[in-house]
Amino acid sequence: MLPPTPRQSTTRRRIHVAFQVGTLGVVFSLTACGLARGGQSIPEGEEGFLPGEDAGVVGPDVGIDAPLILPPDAEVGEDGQLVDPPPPPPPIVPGCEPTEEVCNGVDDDCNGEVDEVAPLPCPGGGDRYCVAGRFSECPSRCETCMPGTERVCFISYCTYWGVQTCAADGRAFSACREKDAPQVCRSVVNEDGNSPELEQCCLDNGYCCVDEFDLDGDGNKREMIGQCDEVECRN
Amino acid sequence: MSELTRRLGLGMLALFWGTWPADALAQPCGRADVRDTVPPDGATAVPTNATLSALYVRSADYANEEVMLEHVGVDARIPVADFNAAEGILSITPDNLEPGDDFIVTWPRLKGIGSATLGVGAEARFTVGDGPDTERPVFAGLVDVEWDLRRQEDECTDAVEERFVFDLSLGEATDDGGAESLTLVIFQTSGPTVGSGAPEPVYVGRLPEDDEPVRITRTIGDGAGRICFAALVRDLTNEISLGADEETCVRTVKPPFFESCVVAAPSGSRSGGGGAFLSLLVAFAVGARRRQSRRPADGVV
Repeated sequence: MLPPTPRQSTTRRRIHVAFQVGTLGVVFSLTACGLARGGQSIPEGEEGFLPGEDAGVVGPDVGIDAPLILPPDAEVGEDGQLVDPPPPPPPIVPGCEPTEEVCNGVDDDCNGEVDEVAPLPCPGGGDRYCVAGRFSECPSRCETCMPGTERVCFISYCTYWGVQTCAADGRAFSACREKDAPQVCRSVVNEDGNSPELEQCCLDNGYCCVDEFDLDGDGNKREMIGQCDEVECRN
Repeated sequence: MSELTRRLGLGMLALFWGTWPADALAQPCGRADVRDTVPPDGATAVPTNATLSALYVRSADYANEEVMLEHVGVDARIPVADFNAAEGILSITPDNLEPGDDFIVTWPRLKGIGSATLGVGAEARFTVGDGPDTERPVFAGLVDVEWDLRRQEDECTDAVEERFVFDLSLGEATDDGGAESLTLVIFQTSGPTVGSGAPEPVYVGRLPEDDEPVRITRTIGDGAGRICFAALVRDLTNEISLGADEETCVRTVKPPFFESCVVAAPSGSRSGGGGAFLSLLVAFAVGARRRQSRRPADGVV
């Protein structure tokens, strides 16, 4: 094995190095500031070493900006001898400008992996994960309602009062099933039928009620209001 | 009661249970059963730094019930347990997982929120491996999705509820702590209620074995149109895989479906072998009821 050939540093900072990878003949070209190879950086003004000729490398007459053909597994130790190569560095994406990796569906840090960002903890337990380029919602105990719980709904005929039950998977309420209104609201039923007054009676008597008449004035008539702690999804 | 009557009664009862459809034996509404454990019962090579978990029905309510960890042949202890209510996961992180030793963890029975009925607990026996889990799991993500519509009796509403069901096929998953102990998390990344907003976690469970698909149910409102999913896996140290950037999509159709129509020829006409009617069956793809799509389906399904 030949001794290493010293390479003089140069004031020209732009160095092109080419790796010929296997038999595919793929030339992997790096353009870097002082980057010698495989992520090893040679500071400006210091000497670096190139493998000897038997490693398939041309000698000191190699000019800067000339491609250097190196075997992919060539490695030189401090004593100038070829040593076993370290594990391959992470793939580097040609033409990629490394920036901090963020959740955006892009390989920002140019390591060949997309969105390898840490999860964000949620206050109620679980984490938000980077999924399809954006952070997910926090996990929820249920999607719509707690399974088996009920809320009062209103219908436009007969008793004007009904009940919806939350399905076993917590994903939806059942259809509104007619039911007799409680005694305390029967006079309202008889006088006003399906009306804001009936919904108010529902609220006043401690039920969880569909806000069909938007009594809270937020424009949402599909929500439930009142005593809904046991009904709503919560962590 | 005579012996004959008693035996007849038992026989009738056995006949009744044997012939009753399994689906009809519904669970009590909102019962907080253990759905799965990680590591599963019988797991081997559990890493020494593992966090052990039981996945309950999400409506489970934890009231500091004790988790028992038996170091087989050594001792039994009650470690501090942590309950992640959002995912229904009760977990412990033991500090005495000795390489090669056997352990039995007993997960308690919990009540559901607003329910007095105790659910079903679980017991998992496992063997500890040689060392800690140090690498993040590797997961190829979701590879295929099929959909269907189901109408099934709901034990809480006592009514037939309609749901889209999605059977998601999974890519390969590996981990130095064992693939059998990976937890799968699935997100809906596109759909009428997702829009361009944050992906919604729709499933947390142990990674199935033997390439079984995972079934996700969605309401008609959540599952109609172009629906996309993505997934990742977590190992026993809560390290997550990459792969959640890969989406698998399908386009569903809202019910009611138009299955087919039959056109009948006037009576007296003849056809083929002398049949009285000429029937034409026209099947419409709209009612195909089952579509599938392979990823990537970005923009086109």
